Amino acid sequence: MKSKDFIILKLQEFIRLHPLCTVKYKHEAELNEHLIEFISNEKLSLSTIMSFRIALRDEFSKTFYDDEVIFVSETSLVKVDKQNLTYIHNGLCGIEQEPAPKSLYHFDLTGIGNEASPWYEEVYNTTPIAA
Amino acid sequence: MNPVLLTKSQDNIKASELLINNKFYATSIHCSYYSVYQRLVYTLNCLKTSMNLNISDTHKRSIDAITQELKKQNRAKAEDIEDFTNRITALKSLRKRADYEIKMIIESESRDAFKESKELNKFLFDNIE
Repeated sequence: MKSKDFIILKLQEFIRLHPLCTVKYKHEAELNEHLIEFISNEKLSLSTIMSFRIALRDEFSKTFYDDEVIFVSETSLVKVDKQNLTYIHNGLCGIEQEPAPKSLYHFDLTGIGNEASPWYEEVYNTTPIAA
Repeated sequence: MNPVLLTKSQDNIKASELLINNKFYATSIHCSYYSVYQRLVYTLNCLKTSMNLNISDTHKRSIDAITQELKKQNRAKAEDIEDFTNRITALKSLRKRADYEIKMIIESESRDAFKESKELNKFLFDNIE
């Protein structure tokens, strides 16, 4: 699995739980960087996104050590180039209720590549990550 | 602990400000990043971490090492550590873009990087040193 496919799978899993959140992703291959931007309504708590960030960075760095993930916001030093995005999900922020909040995400990579049992259908238990 | 790296870090942030005031915006970003990086390595040296700083991709390994130390010391919250890791990675990315890409760096970018450098240095001072 390529690093960008890994990121897209994780983002799709997040979007499945939080479909109203807009997500933009750009893989900057020449810099080995993955820029991700979340645009959420106020009901999607920052802690939900932060929990996802911590889990994603942790799992990603174990598998793709040479690549780097950068979460981008309006105030970030680097921005997601709007052209040639690798992946985008346009949510409808601010209209519906946010799904019940998860605490901290724990990714189980078991089943990657097994089409009969895609990993992202089986995970997202809320095992807390040690502080 | 020999404070040479700490002095270099402080010199780099001063140099960054001088460069901004003299309109050398791209070069100032280089100094802003290295101010944080040198402070980070100084901190790792103070903690006597066992990492080998002579290997390739030292910067990523140093950032990973400081992240692990921050987690181990348990003085900062998990989300603050994630925020620190993300921000220094973004500053490192901007430094690469400023140094190597065919892209002009504008004043606001260099001032933002300067401010970020000071805040990241302060985070290290407050949470691990």
